[in-house]
Amino acid sequence: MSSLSERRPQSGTRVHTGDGGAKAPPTSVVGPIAWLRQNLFRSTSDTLLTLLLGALLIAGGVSFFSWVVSQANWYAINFNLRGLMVGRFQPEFEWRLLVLLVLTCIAVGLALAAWTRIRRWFPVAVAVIIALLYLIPQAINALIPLPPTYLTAGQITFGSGPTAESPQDRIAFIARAGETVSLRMAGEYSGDLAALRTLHSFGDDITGRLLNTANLRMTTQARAAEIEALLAGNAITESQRALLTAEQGRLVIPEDILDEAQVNQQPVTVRILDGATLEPLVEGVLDANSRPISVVLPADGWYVIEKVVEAEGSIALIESFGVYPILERGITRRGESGAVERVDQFVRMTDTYTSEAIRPEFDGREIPFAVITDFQYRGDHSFADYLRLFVDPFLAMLATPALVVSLAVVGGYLIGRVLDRVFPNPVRPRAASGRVATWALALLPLLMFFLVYGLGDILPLTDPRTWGGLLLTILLTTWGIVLSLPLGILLALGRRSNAGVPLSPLIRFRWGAREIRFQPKLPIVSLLCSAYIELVRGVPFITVLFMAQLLLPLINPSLADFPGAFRATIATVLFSAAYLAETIRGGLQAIPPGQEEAAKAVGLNSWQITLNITLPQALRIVIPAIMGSFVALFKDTSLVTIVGLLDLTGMADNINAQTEFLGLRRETLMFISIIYFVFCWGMAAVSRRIETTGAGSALKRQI
Amino acid sequence: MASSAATPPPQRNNLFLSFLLDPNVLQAISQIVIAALVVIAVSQLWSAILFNLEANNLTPNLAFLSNRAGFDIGERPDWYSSDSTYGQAFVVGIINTLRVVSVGLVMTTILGVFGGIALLSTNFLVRNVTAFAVEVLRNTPILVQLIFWYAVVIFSLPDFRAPLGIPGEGVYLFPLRHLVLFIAALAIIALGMLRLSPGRRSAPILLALAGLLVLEFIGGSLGILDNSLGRIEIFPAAFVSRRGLAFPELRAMEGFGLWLLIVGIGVAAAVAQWIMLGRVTERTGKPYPRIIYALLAVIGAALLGWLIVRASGTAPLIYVPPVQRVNASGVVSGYESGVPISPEYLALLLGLVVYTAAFIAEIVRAGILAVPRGQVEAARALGLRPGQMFSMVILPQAMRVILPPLGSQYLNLAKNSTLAIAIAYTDTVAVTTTIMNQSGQSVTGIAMIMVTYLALSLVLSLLTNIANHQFRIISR
Amino acid sequence: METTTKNAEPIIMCQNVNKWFGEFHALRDVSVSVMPREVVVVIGPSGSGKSTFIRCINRLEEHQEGTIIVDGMELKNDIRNIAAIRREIGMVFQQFNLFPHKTVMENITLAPIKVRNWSRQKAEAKARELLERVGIPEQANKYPGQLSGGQQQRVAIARALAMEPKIMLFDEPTSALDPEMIKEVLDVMKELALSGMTMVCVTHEMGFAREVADRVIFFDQGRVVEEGTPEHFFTDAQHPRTQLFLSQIL
Repeated sequence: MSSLSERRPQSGTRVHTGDGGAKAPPTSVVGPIAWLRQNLFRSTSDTLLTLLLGALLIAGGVSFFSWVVSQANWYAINFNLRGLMVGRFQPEFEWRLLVLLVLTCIAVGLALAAWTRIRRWFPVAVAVIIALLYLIPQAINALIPLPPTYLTAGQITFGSGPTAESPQDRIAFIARAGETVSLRMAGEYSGDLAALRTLHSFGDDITGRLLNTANLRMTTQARAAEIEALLAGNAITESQRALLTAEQGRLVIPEDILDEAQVNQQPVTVRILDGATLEPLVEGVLDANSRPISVVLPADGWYVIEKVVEAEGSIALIESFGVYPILERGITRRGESGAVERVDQFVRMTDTYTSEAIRPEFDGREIPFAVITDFQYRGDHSFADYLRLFVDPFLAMLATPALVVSLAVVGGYLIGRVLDRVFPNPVRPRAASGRVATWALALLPLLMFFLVYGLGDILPLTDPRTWGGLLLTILLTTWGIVLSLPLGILLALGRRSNAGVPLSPLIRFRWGAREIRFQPKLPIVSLLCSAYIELVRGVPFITVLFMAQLLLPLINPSLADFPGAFRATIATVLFSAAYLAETIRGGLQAIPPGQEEAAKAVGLNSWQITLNITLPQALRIVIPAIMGSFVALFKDTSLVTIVGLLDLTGMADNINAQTEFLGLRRETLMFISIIYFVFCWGMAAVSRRIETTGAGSALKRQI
Repeated sequence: MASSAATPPPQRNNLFLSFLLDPNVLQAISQIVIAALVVIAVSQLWSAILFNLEANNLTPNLAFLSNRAGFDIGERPDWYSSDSTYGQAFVVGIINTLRVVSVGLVMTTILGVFGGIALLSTNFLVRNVTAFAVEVLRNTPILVQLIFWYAVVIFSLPDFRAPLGIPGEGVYLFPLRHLVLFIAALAIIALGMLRLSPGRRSAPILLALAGLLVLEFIGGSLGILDNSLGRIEIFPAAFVSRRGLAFPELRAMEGFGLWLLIVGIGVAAAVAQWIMLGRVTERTGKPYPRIIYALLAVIGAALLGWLIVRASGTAPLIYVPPVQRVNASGVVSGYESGVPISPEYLALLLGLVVYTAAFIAEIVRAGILAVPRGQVEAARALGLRPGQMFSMVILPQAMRVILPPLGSQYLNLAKNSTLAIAIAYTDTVAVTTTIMNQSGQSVTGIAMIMVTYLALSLVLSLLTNIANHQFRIISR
Repeated sequence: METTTKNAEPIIMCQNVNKWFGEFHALRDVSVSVMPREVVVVIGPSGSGKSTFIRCINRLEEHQEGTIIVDGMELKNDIRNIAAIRREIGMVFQQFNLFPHKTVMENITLAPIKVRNWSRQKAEAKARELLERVGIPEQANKYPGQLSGGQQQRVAIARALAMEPKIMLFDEPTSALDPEMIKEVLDVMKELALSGMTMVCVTHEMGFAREVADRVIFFDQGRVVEEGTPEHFFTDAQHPRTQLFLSQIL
């Protein structure tokens, strides 16, 4: 050591002058260009990949959004939103679900107060979103008018046999007092086929036929020209040539429908009648140049349009405002007398105005509706129509629930803050709200049971067969979680118990110089638990569901009436517990043996050790894994669809089975996928948060 | 407390009591009590079930398996008909399950590994698009996805009378100079890969490619370059429609043997240069792109073989049946003879493969990330190239982390295959449900399903355990 | 340091204790007695059975032959005995083994509340007094993970003392500590010894043994090889194995 210090130069030390500090990095390291180069254009293959994927993304995105806006029929969601959310839950008990929702939100608010730091912009953002939810529908309503409905009149029959159709002489619609109905001849569409093809709005069946025939004529013409060009060239195989020749022979180009049906060439007499009395409110004759006929309606309820073209062989295309498609639905409810009654409801699709008035009749027959469903929307939706018809009602439905939810959350948050002020704790400033939030969250499943199902005389029982949609999914998940967690813990503890029944007294004998001693034991509980866990984990969930479905009535025939929702809950609990048990066992194994020894050394008995020392730590370690199991459970509840329950997935299936919404699977599947995604992703986010800031990190500090 | 030291508490010598209070005895008693309770509960349930079954004359037995089934199965081998027995129907169900699970396992592994690598890509777009897809797939139920594949994707395919050919059928005409352009572009890229080691600038290559394009465009439009046309006839390798996928039946013809021989020689040459250049590298320390030479040798031999067979004028290599839209029985095949794949099978396979691959991608990503950074740095310090680093250093270590969860994903795929029932694919569960409904033997039916899947799970975990063991040994 | 009176009963009495781990014979005919207020230091090479020995005293390990009598009660398979003996014996571990999910205060009060049925107030008052005694009164509401190793070990001592034990067992309490933290723990142990606590310590701190111990026991291969007063032991060891061991560590 000393020699080193002796060799250190005593004089002539070099002093580094100049600014040896930080320099700005070159542009190849920072800045947007560098970012692009690093992340998108790193090498030749990278560049090609970026370009290819970018093109695919843009093409996919464009076609997806054009589907969402112009082709998708979101009535399937707007009209069935209640069904998707709560199934056929009895309307008279609906307030209980609202109470549950509010209580849940208060608990969430308490949890936010206890365990998170709310950023300042967060409440502002929520307020802005809710304001937008109220304002956007208003703005859309004010700026975008409803699209017109096109009606036809005339004495002409299209098609033959069972598909034959002719324009309706009378058509019924519902409207509210003070609304204006106006009618005029749609001359702009009867000029030529190209103009007719641009029609996109509500229309009756004959309007649809006009449009289809026009489309067919033009596409067939185009195809014929295409085939001709292909056959003239040499760019096809022999097999294709044969096919194209055959197709050319089959092609039939329809007549020009505008000429054939003499559209808008004769005047049409129209009358608007009161639905109940069939008294005319207004009457007139429309031709291409006449002014529109309009009337302000005096009362809510049914009205009828009568439209007659005197001359045969000619039809008129009438543009009407104030006449909108109607959906008919039958509902069962408890009437004022207490008896169950079936009511026909008529819902106007554009604004869900609902009327229960009797349908008007003419000559003893019910007059057909204006338009039945959006299938009668002809052509692709324009963006304005998309906003007015789908976005506006959807947001309008969302606004009030969103307001209630956020107010409840804010309320819960404020309660938490007040609690912390009233019961100050110098050590942990948020102990009070934490304790209350824990209790609130723990009590929620119980409250959920009482509010949804019932409680003796205070809350009459609801019919579990009416539970459905998201409500059923959440019920199954929550009860599954709450009941399977204790069962899973018991199974895990049972599997880990290495104690056993001694099969014999201690056996000792000498083997040469060594003494051999052993006592064979049979760990019955551990074996039973292992057998159960491995059995359940080895079979698919669907078999457990089938078992609950089929075996329960066999155990006792009276259980055949046991509601499917409870059977599914039993299956869920039995299934999920096995997976949770393995997860928790992993956590128990991760706890160092010293913990148990230390607890023994201070005199705790084995139950006290399990409850106070090992189990709390094990659960904290495996919180992320448990949350993962819960996410899996939430997704797995969709399988109850297969045993006939109408959970979220089942409800979507059910909607697509109704004639009005047949073939709208994309819309319903997309909607429920978004719901599933939001819930699963939210649960995962909570779990990540706990892992990084909550109980998990407290344990990590130890190491 | 301190005073009690002088007078120790009297020892009670109640032998029976102290026997009872022995922890071992207590545990044994509690174990026996619990076991007895479980046995009693199970036997009570079982006797209740038996009683109710017997009341309906449905005592569980296996004799019904030899009764006539009387129902047809959508996808069945030739030996099954509605006159076959329940037992045979059950076997058909198992075969159908195995068809989906075996193919699904292979495909999901491949897709999942690619997904995992894409999740770690340095390319922003690749990484985030994959991550988004993985998140969506992981956070929605498999049942919803299966319905989507079956009722939306498959249903959107064209009608069986006008199936979609893959690749599209037709004659493609193109100026021959496009071929020259294509080869030139390939050459430039290959040259770039040979000359420039990774990390070098790619600008020269891109510039050359762009220049080539400009030259082609200007030359073509001004008529300076040759505009004579080439003609390629393309027959689809498969037809896809709402009725599923149809592959042609392929049969080797006379020329195939000769062609195979020439390809064999090419492979031998590739191996020879591999070994030889390896020795040269060993001696001189100069690395060669052996993989490119090997690929060139094999592809060249295949092309040469094809030309020779064609020139000798014997016969085509492979017999492809002529295209025919609808076969005699009205089922689309696209070819006179071939292998049809049902839309249900296709949807189930796609759904299971894509869903499971999303989980496997996450597992692979986590496995690769679990390899300590120091390992990568050490490998780099040794001078290994990225490919070598991945296959020799990262992968073997990542495998140890990847394999256990991968095994459980395989099990999940097998178990999720039971959702076939939702899209009308006739797997074990679907067939057994029909059997149960017809024969009333629900208890036996459920037991049969459970035994089948337990056996499947057992085989799969056995296989993963063997793989685990392999990697443990290799890594030591 | 006053040695024990001749006519007093030993508080720990081990006779011919044998213990096997499977085939491995961990304790061989160990016979040791400890008098009330006596401080015994157990030393020996690793694997010699010294930890197993003190873990047998509060039955963290089960001995298979021989008798161990603690405070007049024989350690055998009777849950009443085991619970009663553990109540009278405090133990401090090499790895502290504090409960990481509980605060320092909760760590100390857990056992008195659950086992001795003390009220929370009484337990917390005792805990504060003990934290004062081990010198870290300000850390009561922290979690173990937020403390240094030395502080953690002092909390572990306070936790053991909270049960007001008659005997304290120390299993290498300073082996997992950084050098500058060893002293703070040893100071607490010395203070404890001076206050008259019966202590059995497994330790490698020879300075502590010399200064505080009434008796030193040397273990090797599961046997008590030699025992005696520190002066005798460190200056005049008889057995060659002891001499070899001392020559290597001193």
